[in-house]
This record gives sequence, structure tokens and C-alpha cells, in this order.
Amino acid sequence: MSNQLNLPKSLSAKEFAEEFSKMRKEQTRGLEELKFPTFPSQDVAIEFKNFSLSYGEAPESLYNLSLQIPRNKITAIIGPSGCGKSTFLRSINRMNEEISPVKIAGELLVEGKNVYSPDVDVLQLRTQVGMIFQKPQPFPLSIYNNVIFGPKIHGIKSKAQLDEIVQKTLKDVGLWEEVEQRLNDHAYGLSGGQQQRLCIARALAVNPAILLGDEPASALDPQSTYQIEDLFLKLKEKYTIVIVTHNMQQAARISDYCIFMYSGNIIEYRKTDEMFENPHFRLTENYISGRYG
Amino acid sequence: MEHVTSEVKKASQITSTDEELHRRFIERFAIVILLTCGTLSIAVLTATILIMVYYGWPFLINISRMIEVLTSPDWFPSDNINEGKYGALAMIWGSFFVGIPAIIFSILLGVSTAVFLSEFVPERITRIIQPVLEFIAAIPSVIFGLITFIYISQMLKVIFNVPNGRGPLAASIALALMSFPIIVSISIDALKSTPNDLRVAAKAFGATRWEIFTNVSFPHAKLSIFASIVLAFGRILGETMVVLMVLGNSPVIHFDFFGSGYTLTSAIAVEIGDARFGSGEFRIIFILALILLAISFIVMGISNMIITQNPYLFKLMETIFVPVGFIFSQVNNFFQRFANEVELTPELIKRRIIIRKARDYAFGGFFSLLFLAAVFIVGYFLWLLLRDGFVGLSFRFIITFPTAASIRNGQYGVYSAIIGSVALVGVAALISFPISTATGIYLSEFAKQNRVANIIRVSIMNISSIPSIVVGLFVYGAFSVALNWQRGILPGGLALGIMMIPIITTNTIEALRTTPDTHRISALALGMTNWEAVRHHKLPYAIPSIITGYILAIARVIGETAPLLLTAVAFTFSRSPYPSGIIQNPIRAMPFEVFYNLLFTTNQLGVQWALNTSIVLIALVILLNIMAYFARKVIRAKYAYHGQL
Ligand SMILES: Nc1ncnc2c1ncn2[C@@H]1O[C@H](COP(=O)(O)OP(=O)(O)OP(=O)(O)O)[C@@H](O)[C@H]1O
Ligand SMILES: [Mg+2]
Repeated sequence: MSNQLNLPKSLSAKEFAEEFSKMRKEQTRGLEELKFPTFPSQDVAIEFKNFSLSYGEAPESLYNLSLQIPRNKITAIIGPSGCGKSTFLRSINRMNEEISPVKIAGELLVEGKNVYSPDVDVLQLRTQVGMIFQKPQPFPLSIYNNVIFGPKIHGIKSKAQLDEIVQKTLKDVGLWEEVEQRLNDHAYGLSGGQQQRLCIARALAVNPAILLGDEPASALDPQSTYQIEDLFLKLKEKYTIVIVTHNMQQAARISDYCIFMYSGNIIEYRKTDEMFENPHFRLTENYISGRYG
Repeated sequence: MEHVTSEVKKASQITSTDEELHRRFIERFAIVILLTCGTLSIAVLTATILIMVYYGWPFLINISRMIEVLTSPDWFPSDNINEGKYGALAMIWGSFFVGIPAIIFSILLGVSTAVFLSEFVPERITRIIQPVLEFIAAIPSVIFGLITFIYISQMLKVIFNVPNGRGPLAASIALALMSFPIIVSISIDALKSTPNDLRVAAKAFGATRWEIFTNVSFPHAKLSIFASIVLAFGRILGETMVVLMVLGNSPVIHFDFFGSGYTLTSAIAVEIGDARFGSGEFRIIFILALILLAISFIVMGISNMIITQNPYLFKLMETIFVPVGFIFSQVNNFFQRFANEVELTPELIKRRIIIRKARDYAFGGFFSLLFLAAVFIVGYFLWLLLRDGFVGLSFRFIITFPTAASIRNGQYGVYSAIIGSVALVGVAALISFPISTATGIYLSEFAKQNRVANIIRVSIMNISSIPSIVVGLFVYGAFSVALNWQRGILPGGLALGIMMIPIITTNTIEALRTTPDTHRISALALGMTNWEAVRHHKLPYAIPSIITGYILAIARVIGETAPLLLTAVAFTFSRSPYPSGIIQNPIRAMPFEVFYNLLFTTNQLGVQWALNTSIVLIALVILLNIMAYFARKVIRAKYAYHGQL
């Protein structure tokens, strides 16, 4: 089934934005003008201001994004493959530039500070913003050493303090009971779900303000997925969480806000339940009802 | 296959026809031949050990004599085994007194280079530098011997203000320069094989390159790195030419880095010279070789156990290291107890980032310095060699056949040595190419995992670890002496051929492994026998790679000197540059010409002759490597066309 847009498939993010603005009217499902949510400044964790990003000499992969992501909430990003979800996420902790050279326009503020301004230190930024990947990536070290990886490089040496951090973060991710007796075993001995929770613990151990997850549960079995979702719901009290997911039920279950991306643009960004109940655009409706993607 | 295409067989007809039986028979026959070639490797290994045991037997059955060999420093071998003193402690001491500093230098240079190239610089630069390291690894040992004899010792003489810089230190430096490329190439491969996702995850954590190395890629690669160090140590202990040329060859035990010394390898090379067949002096040499063999096999075994994570070895290491580790962790905990509790505040993180970055640059700088030092030192000595080696070098040098008379007129050349080397390598190729290729084909295509195949694999691995002088001694004992072949291109070529077996076999296996298997599978599905499928639908595609392996194997052995000393070369001038027979007709060979003229042609003429010959030898090795490079390129191009590889 077509996406009812009759747009040529190979539009760049910018071209798509122009085409889409022309057919905005006919795309809406007869509702009043859609506004992205805004928040009082102390509640804004991340803010994009006319932010565009392109890889090398290619056309923009993200085009002119402006939005605010709230503190202590879970924001989910959904959208078809290749629409730029991962790029969006990685631009927050500047990991895109580790993969290939990028060009930036506009601003991206984390806790009020433009992370692309020259005086920002990426090492510091990445301490503030933790990231969890699709496949669990424990380092080839013991469980204990995985958790204290961050604190240790930041110079925490006290054994008592490190022990405490390990215990606390492993309890936070619900792994403590399972591994208490074998903290010095190699992390590769854990199951996939346990490894992913270990990676979350490892990220939490340096007190980040923000957690990013790029499809953090899509490589796991249903039981582990359920545990991870539960964990995120618990963690949002202390952290701002942004996750990419391909799983509509998951987005609906755990996120407070939801971003629907298409071809490097944000089409719709609203409270999750509103969006799922009453999508503003046909494009969104088709995607979340699984008619294409 | 025409006979099946016309009519489809019914189930009852799926029985063998005469024609199929015939094809099956051919396959069996082919496999038997391949397997026979494979078992030759087992035979070579067994025969090597047996020859040493056979000649050393009177010692082996005499416990008190064996204790003397291993524990006494007194070395006065005699004609009669019941007289004289046979203490080899000085040689064992010498091997390790040279070998241990050498491996320490080698680890410093090798591990630093590997870490620097894989962690601190972009892939692009690594790819430029790797061929340079391959070139260093390809330089024949006799040339390192010459460099040590002339230049390294000169440098040490100036630096340390000693009468002449020769001795254990000079030898250690040379052995380190020879062996560090082994550590580099294995370690780089291991470090580079760290999953990229892991590196990205560490970067997302804000880890620096040094932190990624210590926490991610080193833990991932450490076993291979340790194994490469062990292998390099084996190579160092088995090396003959450098120690033979700069240690002075006298059995003494001391801590003087500029004194003289003896090693197991150089003792074999020297002592065999005037040992009468069957004498005590003759037999003890085979005992020295047995000790060397034992060391090489142990080293090979350990490196193998490390790679395969052998549980017994790890248990053993644990029991050895548990006390050490325990003390270490206690000390660590002790200090950690005093470490202040600190709040992980943004300020702390900010302050730490300065320290962490400084540490990153410090280690990067340290590794790059060692790497540059390694490349610079080798480059500097090679430059000196080139500078001096081209003096007086002309085409005439290549076509001059030196005789006692021509030398007196100052005319010398390398013509007879080139003829000799080509003949030796030719014989070696005739012997080892078919055998090793067949072995490789058998192991990779017909014997996935059976006991015989495993024994063949282990044998080949062990043959590769045998020091070259011991290979020479084996051929000497088994053919030159026992069959009275004496010296000539047949025994010499045989020794070189044995050394080629592991190189070509592993290369053939690798060539077949990287050749697409799809055509063979399709051929099997069409009802061909595996032999037919391999013969027509796999082997042809692998042949260019296999030939690359031949060229590299030739490049590797053409500079070999040690085995030739026992099996091939003439210490006097012959009447014609062409050998008149293949046995009992000693010849000259290029690496030997370097060695002999440098040490035994006493006037300045000899040094110049050796230098000129080195240039020709290096040029030849480079030429062979370039040929191999282009052969490989051709293959890439060919497969790129088919969209494979
Ligand atoms: N390293 C890169 N270099 C060049 N282009 C890239 C790179 N990474 C992504 N892109 C391009 O950017 C666009 C967005 O890719 P991205 O990976 O962000 O999509 P995604 O929404 O995460 O897709 P998926 O759901 O498949 O993970 C794509 O068109 C892709 O081709
Ligand atoms: Mg993605």
C-alpha cells in the first residue's frame, strides 16, 4: 500500500520538508493546527533549534528540527527505517561524528548548553548523556569492572565507594540478586537481557542526566524486553530518557511523549496517548497502524 | 555427465555403474596420494627427533653424563665419549642471556608499535606502514648479522666506550629488531579484530583512546598478544647467524654485555666443523640440538595453549599467579581504603578530563616514540648498509666468478653464489612444492577433522618451530654423514625444502579457505566426486594465491644460512661456478658469501665483498616480495571482476 503521498521515494530531508508543507492541509485529518509541546525552561532537558545535520557531502539527514524534550519523561522516537532516528539520537551525544564526518547547522542544547559550540568537551558531554545500544555491548571485563568503568576513569578510587556504586546501580537495574555472588565473573557469561541491564547499570554509574537508547530491547526475548521496559519506567524518575523503537506497543506502553519522524523531518510530536488515539496526519496514522514502514 | 542427462534415473537405478565405480576409484587414489604427501610431514618431524636421539644415544642412556650436560659449565669435548667434559650450561646460559634482553626489547618495540598503529592512528596510515614492517621481517638473518657485526657494534662501542661493541648486547638488539615484526603483525590483527560496536560503545562513554585500549581492545586481544610474544621468543632462541657472528663463540658464563659467549645454536654450527663422525664431540652436538628442539616445542606448545585457552595452562598460571595476584589486590585494596570518597560532580569530571587527556597523549606519545625508534633504528642501519654496500658495486660484480687467483688481483664477485643459491632454491622447490601443496589440499578439502589430519597439522606446526640450524643438522646426520652425501645442492636443497613445508602448506590451506566454495558445492550437487569438484571447481581459483605462497616461501629461505653451513657450502673456491654434481659438490651461496667473507676473508676486500653481496641479496628478496605483491593484486583484480572476495 502506498503512503498516499505520491512523493518520489528519493527525496532529501529538505526536499521532503518542502513537499510536505505544500500538502500539509490535505494530510491533516481535519483537526486544528498541530503545535509541538513546549515546556517551562527548567523542565527542558534537550532542545533542538533549527538543527540540521548531513553526513559528508550528502544532503541533510536531519532537516531544520526544532523541538523541546522534557526532563524526567520518556520520549519515544518512531518512524520507518532510514528516516533518521539513530542520527537524531546520536546527534545529542555527538556520536555521529565518530562514525563519519558531519556538517551541522542550527543549535542543539543539552541542559541549556549548545553541545556543538567549540568550547564543549565531548568527553564531558558523553558523561552527561549515557547511551544504550541495540545489541548489549559489555566490555570484555568482569561484571564488577564493567560497572565501575565510568567512575574509575573519572578518578574514583576508594574501594568502599566503588563497591557502593556497584551495589546501588546493579540494584537500580534489578540485577543485584542475580549476580551478587559472581561479580568477578566475566560479563560475557550473562544472558542477553542481563548483559543489557549491565550496560544500563554501567551507564548509570556516572550519574548521567540523560539516557539514550537506540532500540535497546529489540535484540532481546519478550521476558527481558518486559524487564527493560519496566526498568525505564522506574528510571524516568531520575533521568530523562529518549529511546528509539520499532515496536509501536512498546512506544505506547512506556513513553510519555512520542516523536514520529519521516525522511529526516519530525512530522508529529505529541503526548503519546494523544498521538496513538488520534494521529494528526494521515502519514502518522498509516505508520502507527502498521500499514507501511 | 552426459549419461545421466538423457533419462532420469529411477530409485532402483540409483546404484553404482562401472563408470561411477571407476570415478570413485580415481578419487580414492587421489586422496591416498595427497594423504601420503601429508604423512611425509609426520615422517620429517619424527625422523628429525629420531636422528638426534640416535646419534645422542650414548649420552641419553648415561644419566650422570646428561646431568653433567645440563648443569656443568665445563666444555672440553673429546674424541672418546668416556673422556672429556660435556657441560652445556654455558650455551644454555648464553641462549637466555642474549634471548631475555632481546625479548624485552622486542616486546617494547613490538607491543608499542602494534598499540600505536591499531589504537592511535587512522587505518589509512596503518596500511601504509604495515608493508614496511613486512619488509623488515623479510630481511635475511645473515644481513642482520652483518649489520650487527659492523654497525650496531660500532654504535655501542662509541656509546659505551668499550674496545669493541660486539657481544650479548649487540646480539640482543639485532634479535629484537628481527623479531618485533612478529609481535606487531599478530598483535595488530588481534587488536583490530575487537568488535567495532564495542569501541563505539566505549566512545559513547567518553572514553579516550588509551582507556579504550586498556578496557576494551587489550582485554579482547591479550591472549594473542601473549602468544605472539612467546612465538617471538622461540624465534629468538632458535636464531643462529647473529649470535654466531658477534658472540665470539666461547663457552663462558658471565654477566658482561660486551663479553664473549656461546649459544646452543652457534655451538652446533661451530662444533660440527671439526667433530669426527661417531666421536663424543660429534654426539654431544645432537644432544645440544635435542635441547633446542625441546625448547622450541615447548615454546610452540605454550603459545598454542594460550591461543586455545587450554584449561590446564590457565590452571597452572593461576596457581603460579594467585599469590602474586592476591598480594597485588591486597596492596591495591590497602591503598584504595585510603582513597578519599569523592563526589562525582561536574567539576570533578571536568578536572579529570584534563588529566585523562594528558594521559592519553602521554601514552600515545610514548608508543609513537618507541615505534619511531624501531623504524628509525632499522632504517638508519639499512641506510648505512646501502651507503657502504653500493660502493664498488657494478654489473661486473654480478657476473664475476671469484677464484683464488682473481681475488689476488682484487677481482671478486657473486656469480657462483647466485648460481648456487638458485640451484639450492630450485632443489628445495622441487622437493617441497608438490608435497606441501598436496598436504595443504588434503588438510583443507579432504580431512576436515580426523586423527591423522590432526597429527599432520601438529607436525607441520612443530616443523615450523624447529630452529634452522637443527634442520641443517638433521639433514647432515641423516644424509650427509650417514649416506655419505657430504655437501651439495641436494642435501642443502633438502634442508631448505623442509623449511618451506610449513610456509607453503599453511599458505595453501589459507588460499583454499579464502576461495569461494560455491562452485565446488554446485559440482557436488551435480554428482561429481569431491576430488573432481575440488580439482576442477576450486583449485583453479586458488592457484594464483598458492603461487604467491611459493614466491614468499622462496623469499624466506633464499637468505637462510645456518642449515647451509652443514649441508651445502664450500669453504674454499671451486674450479667452476657450476656444480658438477648434486651431492659431494659443495657450492657457494649468497647468504653464505656474506657470512664467510665478512668473517674469514681477512682484508678489507672481504668486508666490501660481504657488503656488496648483501645489497644483491636484499634486492633479490625485495624483488621476490614485489612479485608476490603483484601476484596477490592480480588475484584481487580477478575476483573483483566476479564480485567475490
Ligand atoms: N555514517 C553514515 N554516513 C552517511 N550516511 C548515513 C550514515 N548513517 C546514516 N546515514 C544516512 O542517514 C539517514 C538516516 O539514517 P539512520 O541510521 O539515522 O536511520 P534510522 O531511522 O535509525 O534507521 P533504522 O530504523 O534502520 O535504524 C539514512 O538515509 C542513512 O542512509
Ligand atoms: Mg537506527
